[in-house]
Amino acid sequence: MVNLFMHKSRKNKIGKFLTDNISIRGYSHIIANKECQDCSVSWHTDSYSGIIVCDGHGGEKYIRSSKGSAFACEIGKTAIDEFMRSIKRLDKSNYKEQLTVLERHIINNWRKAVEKDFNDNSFENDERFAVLSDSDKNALLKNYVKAYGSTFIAAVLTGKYYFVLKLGDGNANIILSNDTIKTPDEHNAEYDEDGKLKKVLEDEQLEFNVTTSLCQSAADTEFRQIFIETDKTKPVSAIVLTTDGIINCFRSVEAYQSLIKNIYHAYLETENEKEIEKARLELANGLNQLSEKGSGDDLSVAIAIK
Amino acid sequence: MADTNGGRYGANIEEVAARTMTLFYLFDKSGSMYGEKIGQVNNAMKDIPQIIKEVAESAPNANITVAAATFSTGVEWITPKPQTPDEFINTWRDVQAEGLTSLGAALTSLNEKMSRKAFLGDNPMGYLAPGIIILSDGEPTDDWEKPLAELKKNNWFKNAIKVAFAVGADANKTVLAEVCGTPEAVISIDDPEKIRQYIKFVTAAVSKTGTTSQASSSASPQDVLNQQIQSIDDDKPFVVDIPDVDDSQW
Repeated sequence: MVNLFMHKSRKNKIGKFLTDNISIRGYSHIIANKECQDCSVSWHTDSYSGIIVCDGHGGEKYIRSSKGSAFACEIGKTAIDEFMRSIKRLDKSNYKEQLTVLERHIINNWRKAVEKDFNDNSFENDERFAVLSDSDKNALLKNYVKAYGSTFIAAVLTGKYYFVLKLGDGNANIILSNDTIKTPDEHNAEYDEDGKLKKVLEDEQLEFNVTTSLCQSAADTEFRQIFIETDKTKPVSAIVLTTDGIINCFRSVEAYQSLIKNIYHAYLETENEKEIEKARLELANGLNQLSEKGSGDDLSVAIAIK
Repeated sequence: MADTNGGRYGANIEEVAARTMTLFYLFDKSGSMYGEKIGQVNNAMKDIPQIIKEVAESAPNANITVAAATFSTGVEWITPKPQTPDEFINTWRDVQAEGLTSLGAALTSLNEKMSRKAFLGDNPMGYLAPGIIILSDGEPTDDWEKPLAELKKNNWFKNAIKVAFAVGADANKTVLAEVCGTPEAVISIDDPEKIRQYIKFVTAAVSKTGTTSQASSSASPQDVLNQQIQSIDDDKPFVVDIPDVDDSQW
């Protein structure tokens, strides 16, 4: 859904944003007649824009991960909006404490939504549960939350700062005013004693198809967060979030970033709602082809332009 | 359905890369492998590039590479890094049987190579679950339990499709089942003359299972492969018929 506010005058205007998001069903899911397990959402107010992408796990026992990712988007949006409306001050001195509270709020509400859904819809009548192996059935009966497993990435962009919350794989891209792209860690540009870039957001433990998840009991300790004040030394034009199916299509970071830049420019060039609709359709077409030729996975993009 | 020209994103779509599946072979070349057994292995490894190329042709979204090591008194990697089938044709050299059965050392070395910093870093944006094919005809002569415990912490290993060949009566099937995580993934070969045939069959089965991402099956790639192994009938020709499997990428 398009969330458009004063896009014609967004250049250099604090508090004026364009946001949009899209999730497409992966090629392998189309063939297998599986639902889309990705979900995304975008919105903005006068003072900030918010974007979220969530990737419901694709393994066999994650039979309700499409619900899990949808809950995560809905709950994340509500929690972030309440947070942004109530917070009086967010800066370098207090963001860790404040954002940790926000993360725990999101996890708790997500688990409540999962619990309610499970109580309303037990596994007994779920045909996807019936076909699972005995070991998978036992695993879910011991811990039904697993069935709803999903990653979660959210970004909030304001006139003075941005922050990103991340649990699991997927990518956040910061587009600078000089049209270059950096990861939030690169943009943060903090280095350890050996001169190595500090990776606050990127979780180096995540390899291959292993990811942290909302369904983990220790999800609150796995959340990563970054907060950056966008002063004159770190001006930001846009943030683009993607689920991991997109970067998995490419052999290099450069090729992936070229796509991100292309998406950014497609939206930047829009003059009215009709053109935004057209940009989204063109992106959907491109993502469908990417999935078919690349990862086969569900793909999600969410963009916030300042 | 998406149009074929890609529109604004055509150039990006041209950049789409196939993911890589790496097949790891660990072959016992201890002294007891002397003669027919090692000869069968040597012949099989000359056949596998063509098998892999055929599987890859039916899976355009995946590259398959090969990494091979032998173990006896120590471990030797025949491939300095994972190789394409064409590269592997020129790399494989016949192996001579000699020495002990250092399975523990082989597992330690496998753990080191299954890392982005070693064998799985050239295509960091896209890797499929690796395949691991182990062949041994005897008891490990070194400590294998600690190396296996360490290896089991490796995420690549956890997700790998694993198969082991237990050749002859002296092979320790229990150990090999521990490595594979299930006795169902251990194939007993009593007749050394069939080693080559089995290696070819399993190469095709593992690579096909690992590169097939569409699915309606509820089984994991390892389960699918185990079913294939269990249905092997020594008296019939091998047929590689892998059903669709689930894409368990998160």
